[in-house]
Amino acid sequence: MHLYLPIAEISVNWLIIAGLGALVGFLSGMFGVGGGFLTTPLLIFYGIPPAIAVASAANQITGSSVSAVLAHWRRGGVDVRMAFVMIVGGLIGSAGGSYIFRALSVLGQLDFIISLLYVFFLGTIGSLMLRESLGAMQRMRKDFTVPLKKRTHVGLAYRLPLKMRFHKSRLYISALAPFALGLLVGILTAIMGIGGGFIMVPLMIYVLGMPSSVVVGTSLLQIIFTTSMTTVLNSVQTQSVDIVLAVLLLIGGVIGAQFGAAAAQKLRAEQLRAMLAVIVLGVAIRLAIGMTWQPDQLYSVFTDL
Amino acid sequence: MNRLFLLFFLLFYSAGLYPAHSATPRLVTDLSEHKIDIAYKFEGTDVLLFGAIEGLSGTIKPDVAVVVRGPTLPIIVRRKSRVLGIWMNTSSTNFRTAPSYYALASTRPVASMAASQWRAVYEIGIDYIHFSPASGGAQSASDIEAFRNGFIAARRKLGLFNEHENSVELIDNGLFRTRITLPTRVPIGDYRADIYLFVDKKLMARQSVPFVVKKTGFERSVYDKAHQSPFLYGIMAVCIALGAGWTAAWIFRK
Repeated sequence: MHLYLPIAEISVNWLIIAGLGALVGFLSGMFGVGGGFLTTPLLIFYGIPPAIAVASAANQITGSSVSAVLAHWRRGGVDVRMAFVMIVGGLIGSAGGSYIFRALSVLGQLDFIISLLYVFFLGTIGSLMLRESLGAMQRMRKDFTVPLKKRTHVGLAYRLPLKMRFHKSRLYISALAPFALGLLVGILTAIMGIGGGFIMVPLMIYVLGMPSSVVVGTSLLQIIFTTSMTTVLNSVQTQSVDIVLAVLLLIGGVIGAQFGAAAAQKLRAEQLRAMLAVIVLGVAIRLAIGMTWQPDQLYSVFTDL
Repeated sequence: MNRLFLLFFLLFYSAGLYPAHSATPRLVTDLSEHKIDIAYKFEGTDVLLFGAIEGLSGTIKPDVAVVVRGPTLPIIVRRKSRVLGIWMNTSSTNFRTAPSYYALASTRPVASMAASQWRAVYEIGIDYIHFSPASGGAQSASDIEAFRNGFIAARRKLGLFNEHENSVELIDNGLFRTRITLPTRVPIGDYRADIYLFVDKKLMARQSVPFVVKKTGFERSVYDKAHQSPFLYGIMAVCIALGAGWTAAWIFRK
C-alpha cells in the first residue's frame, strides 16, 4: 500500500491519497467546484510538506478542470473572449504569486501565510454561503417566492476605461475588470494551490455581472491556463511539483467526480450549498485552531536555499 | 604511490600513538549493502554491519562503537513563538554544516567505554557532533545551544538522528555485528560508517566503510528530471495532467 513520492521524499499510503482525491472529486462533482481549497489543507494535515502540497495540487487541478471544461464547452458555456482577458491577468498573477511563494519560503513564513490565507478565504466564503443557503431554505419552507434581485448596479466594471464587448456574456465592460480578477486569482493559485473557482465564480457574477450559464465554464478555462503556468513556474523555482502525487490525486478525483455528479441530482441546490458551506467552514476552523495550538516541536529544520 | 605512502605513514603513526600494546589490533568490517536503493516501495531499511577484531589477545575485553554519518548540508533552524495567540516562526539560525543523518551504535554506553577526548575528536555521540559556527538570529551562546538542541530533537523525531547503546553484539573470537536503521526520510547522498575499537577507554583502531543512498528506477528519473531540467519537467507535468483529464472525459462520455 505504500508508495514513495520522489519529490516529497516520503512514503505515503497511496490508497489514502487516492481516496482523498476521490473525496474531493466527489465534492467537486457534486458542487461544481474545483476542490483545490480542500486538497491542499488535507494533504498538509496528512503530512505532505506545504510547498509540495500547494504545487502538486495546482498540477492536479489542471487535469480535473480539463474534463469539466469539455462538458461546459459542448453546451456552449464558455466565453472565450472573457477567458482570454482573464488568462492574461492570470498568467501575470501566477508569475507574481510564484515569486511571492519563493520569497515567503526563504523568509520561513510560507506555512504561516498559507494557513492564514486559507482561514481568511474559507472562513469568509463559508460564512457567506451558509447564510445565503440557510436563508434560501427558510424561504422555501415558508413557501413564498422572493423575486430575484435584478442586476442594476453600475459598478466599477462599467466605469473603467478600455471597454470591450463580450458577446457570449452579453456585456460591454472594461477589460481591466476581468484582467484584475484573473490577476488576483493567479496570485492565489501560486500561493495557495487552488484553482480559485470558489472565489472567482461569485466575483464574476456580482462584480462583472456575467450570466451564471457561462460563469463556471469560463472560469474553468482560465483555471487550466493559470494552474499550468503555476506548475511550470513552481517546478523551475522550487522543484516542488510531485507528479506521482498529482497523478494519484487525479485518478481518485476523476472517479469521485462521476459519483459526485450523480449524487448532486438527488439533492436540492440550496441543500448542496449549505453542505458545502459547512465543509468549507469546518476546514477553516480546523486550520484556525491548529494555528493557536502549541506545536509539539518549536524548532523546525530547513535546508538552506 | 602517494596513497601507498600515506598508508605506511598512517600505520607507523598509529603504531607510535599506542606504544603500550605491542601488536596493533585491526578491524575488518563490511556492510550487507553498499548501495541503498530508494524505489517506489521504499519505507526505510536496515543495513547490517559486521566485522572482526584482529590482533587482540583473548584476555582483553574490547568495545566497539559504530557511527554512521550522512551527507553534511547547510541548514536553517527556525523557532516558533506565540504572536497574538498564533504560533509562527519568529527567529532562525543558520548552521553552515550539519549532518543530515547520524547514527551511533555501541557495545555499551559510550560514556563508560571511551574517554571523552576520543569522543570529541571523532564525534562519537550526538552530544559531540561538531556544528560549524552559527550565523543569524541567535546571539548568545545559550541561544545557539537552544537552536542546536532544537535541531537535534527535530532530527531524532524523524529517526534521522539515533543512538542505540548496547546494540553492537560482540560474539566470540572478536566477531561483532550491528544493525543500522535508515528511516523513510533518509536523505540521498554519500554515507560513511566509522567503526571504532576501544580498549580501556582508549582508541585502538578505526575503520571507515563508505556506502551510498540513492534513488533508482522511475523515482530517480523523476527526481533527476525535476532538478536537472525543471522547465521541461514542469511542461511534462502539465501535459500529463491535461492528458489524464482528457482521457477521463473521453472514458466517461462513452
